[in-house]
Amino acid sequence: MPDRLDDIFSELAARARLTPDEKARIRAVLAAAVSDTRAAERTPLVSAVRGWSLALDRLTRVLRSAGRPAFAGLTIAALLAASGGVAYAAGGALPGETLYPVKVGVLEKIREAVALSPEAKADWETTRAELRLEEARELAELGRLDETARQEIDRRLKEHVERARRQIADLEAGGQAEAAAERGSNLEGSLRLHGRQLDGAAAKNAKRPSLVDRLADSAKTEAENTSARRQVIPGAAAGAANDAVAARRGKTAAERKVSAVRGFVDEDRAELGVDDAGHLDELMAKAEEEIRGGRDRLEAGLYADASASFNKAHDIASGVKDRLEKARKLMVGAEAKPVIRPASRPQAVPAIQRFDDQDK
Amino acid sequence: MTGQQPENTEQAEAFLKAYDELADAIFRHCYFRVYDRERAKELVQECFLRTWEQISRGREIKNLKAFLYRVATNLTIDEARKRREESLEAWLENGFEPAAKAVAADQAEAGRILSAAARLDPKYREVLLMRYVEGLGPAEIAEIIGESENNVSVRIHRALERLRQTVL
Repeated sequence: MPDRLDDIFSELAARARLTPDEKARIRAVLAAAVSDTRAAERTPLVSAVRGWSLALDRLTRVLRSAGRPAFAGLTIAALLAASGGVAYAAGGALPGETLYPVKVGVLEKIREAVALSPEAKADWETTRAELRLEEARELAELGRLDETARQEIDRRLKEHVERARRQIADLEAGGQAEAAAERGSNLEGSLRLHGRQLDGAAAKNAKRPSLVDRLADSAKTEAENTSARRQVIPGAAAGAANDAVAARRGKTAAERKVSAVRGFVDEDRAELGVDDAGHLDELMAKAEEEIRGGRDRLEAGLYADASASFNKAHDIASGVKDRLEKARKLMVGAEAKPVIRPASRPQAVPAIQRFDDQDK
Repeated sequence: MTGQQPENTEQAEAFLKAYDELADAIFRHCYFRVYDRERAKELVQECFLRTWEQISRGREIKNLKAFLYRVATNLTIDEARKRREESLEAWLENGFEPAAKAVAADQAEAGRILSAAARLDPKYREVLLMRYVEGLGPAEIAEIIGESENNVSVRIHRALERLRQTVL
């Protein structure tokens, strides 16, 4: 058997390779990222925001009008890579922060440009809707959700949901009923899940619960509207399907959050001191344990329990991030100089990276 | 590669050289987990970009190859869980991309073995692919997945046993 496997797998492996053209294209993206990292870090942030945004808008239009969407995606990906430090710093920005326009106006537009298929577009708009609701939850937990932020999040949420629905409708019209159903289910499940999580945030620690409630209601209303447009699944099957979707979306959201906060802790480790860093590591280990438990429960079909675990992991990570924010303010105050730091690792590009990829 | 800020061209060149040397290996690593050529290409790019991001932020990476494999593995986990079944079926049905030629050894048998391998427990499938598709030795696999070399050898042996039970 081993010899036979060697023969078969070796031959397949020999054929599984990038073409020279593919390899060169990826290399060009990497070279742009590598060569411009330092220059991008020195770019004045605020002036860069408007310039990048306008340039990307123009470039996207030109390339798409030229009928070369794939090339547009590649070029824009190279530009994203070239934006280096700006992109990184903006990734975790919240509404009201200086870099938030970079996050939603530049980084997310770039990601939008490289999502070419209707499936990818629907997935990306669903993710953007999730990001808005996660921002709302984070602002609520930090006690910083005001009417201006609520309106901005609500407006963007509705835009993302509408765009996702349009893509889903296109899929249906194109005869891809199954793909459309899956995306519709994901969108609805995600909105329901985040609506419930916002309910929890309002009940626990929001300074202005009515604002959080309104966003939670908005998410749930959008979920209902999405549901109404989807093919109805009868009886108990619908409940089980919704629970499963909600649990899976909860997993994605928790993994994204925990991964982001883990990076955040690692980044500040040197400045935190051994005791503080150790304590935060313990909390993050608990969050990661909750995610592992959630995954097991998800695989076992215990969807409600899985959702609870993922939610707990999310809460723990949020608590850690809150502590880090406070520690940063102390550090900045102690240094008595302006410091612009990223709020977290980039979230505009969803973090798929797991937490067990630490270098040995 | 050290974790210092990438302040000189040597570090950048070393990273791009690593890409030149490892791009196909990382592509294989991704491809045989997502069974989708286009997605595998995207994952390769994302893997290297994320790794560069870590380097540029000063992260100390003692073994770049192992680090790249770990990032690639993490990137494929969700993708593989979500897509493996349907993509594998499509892959077996449509053949290998872009080469449409039959596998010289025996297309039917290759399909049968690969199908069985793809359905193994993930911890066995992982080491099997690394060992036989990617040609990594037990020591390299151990470094990538964070297990002892002895455990990896045992796992490869058990993976073969299970595969034999399934296909014979």
